[in-house]
Amino acid sequence: MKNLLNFIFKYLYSFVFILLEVGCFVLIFTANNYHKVSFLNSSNVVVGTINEQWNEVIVYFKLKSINDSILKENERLLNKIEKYRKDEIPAIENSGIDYVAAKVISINIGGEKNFLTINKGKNSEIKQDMGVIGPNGVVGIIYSSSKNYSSVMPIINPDTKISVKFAKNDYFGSLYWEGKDKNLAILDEIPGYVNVQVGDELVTSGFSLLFPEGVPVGIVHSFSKDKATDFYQIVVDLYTDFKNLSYVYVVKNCNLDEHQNLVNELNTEND
Amino acid sequence: MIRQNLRYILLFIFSVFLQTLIFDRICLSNYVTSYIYIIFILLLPVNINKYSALIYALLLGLCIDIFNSTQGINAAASVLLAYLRPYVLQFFKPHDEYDDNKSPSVKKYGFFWFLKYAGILIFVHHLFLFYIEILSFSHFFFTLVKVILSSLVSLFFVVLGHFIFSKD
Repeated sequence: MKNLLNFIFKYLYSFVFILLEVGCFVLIFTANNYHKVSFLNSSNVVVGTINEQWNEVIVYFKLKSINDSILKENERLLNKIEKYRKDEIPAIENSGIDYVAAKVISINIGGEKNFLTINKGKNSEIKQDMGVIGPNGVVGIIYSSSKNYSSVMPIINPDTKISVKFAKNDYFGSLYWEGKDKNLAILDEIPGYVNVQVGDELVTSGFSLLFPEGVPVGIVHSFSKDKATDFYQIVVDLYTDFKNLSYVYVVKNCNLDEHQNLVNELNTEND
Repeated sequence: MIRQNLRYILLFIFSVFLQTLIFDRICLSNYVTSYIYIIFILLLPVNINKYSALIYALLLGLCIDIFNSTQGINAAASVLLAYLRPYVLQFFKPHDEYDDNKSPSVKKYGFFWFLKYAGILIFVHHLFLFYIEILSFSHFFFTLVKVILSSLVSLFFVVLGHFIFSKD
């Protein structure tokens, strides 16, 4: 016993170190359970307020790029309206989707686990797992929210997966990011018989209800075919420029709860 | 003594804000992500209690983690850095002993000494941080290049910051 105590005492420093490291790793590996604990991430009130104040200062340096992106967005939306006018499509019935505009108050995209923080939260009825789109296309998914702030998991985070399809032929697959380049993501699950060309446009599929159908995502940058499985591995050039993202829209789908209840009911029936 | 404590409290706050409000928002290239907040741990007094250094490093890392939503990754890396610091100091011990309750500086031990001391610790910190961030060796060489380039950039800014801090 005495020897054991002596041993522990001799290496006490290392024991304390190992204990702290174990604590940190528990935090890292259980990170996904802490969605609701918003004080542990950037949607926390103190951090949100600091970021928002700081953003007020630096936003002046970005006004030109913000203006440019709004101009481009308007151009895209006007063209879309024009298309509908020509096709004489009757008024679309209420789709149950609301958009909430929010400012991006911090962007951390230096590492692999990238996050954004926006200045809208539970007070604007924003909840975890809602979709977020930017002026040029899809941005990501709400990760956690406090009263006035939310943190967003962008496509360029290894834990995000988004269901997308080809604008021209409706073949769909899931889009994810595998690190490295901030503008490129990977799309797989596209079968080998589909005709894929560099430059093909990809849009959201609308299956997950996070995003409405047809929100632009990006274009095909390059592709290769896996001989063994006969599936494509497609590199997608994302439309969203995360380095200069200043404002976004959160997609509030009123049918989400209903859909979720239905899925839950089905699951309990199957059990 | 009180004045010194105050300086370290200010350095702590300054490191967190400099890292999260400026450095994390600048994305120079896909290969460079510098973490300069560790300047706080590098500049702690030479004879500081080893255990309190670990705790300060943990707090510093957690602050960065909260700002970046990275949950524990920076904390783990800065605790490792604080743990290794006494051994590195011991290893590079100058002939005429350390001036105990001052921070390690170029003025006292020379430019080359400081580069070795800070360089090794920054490299280990970045190596650990980037690999636990991806938690796999899937981009082994890409990450290694990123570690080396980012360490060099961080070292540059740490040396620069150190001159500002140790000016009396």
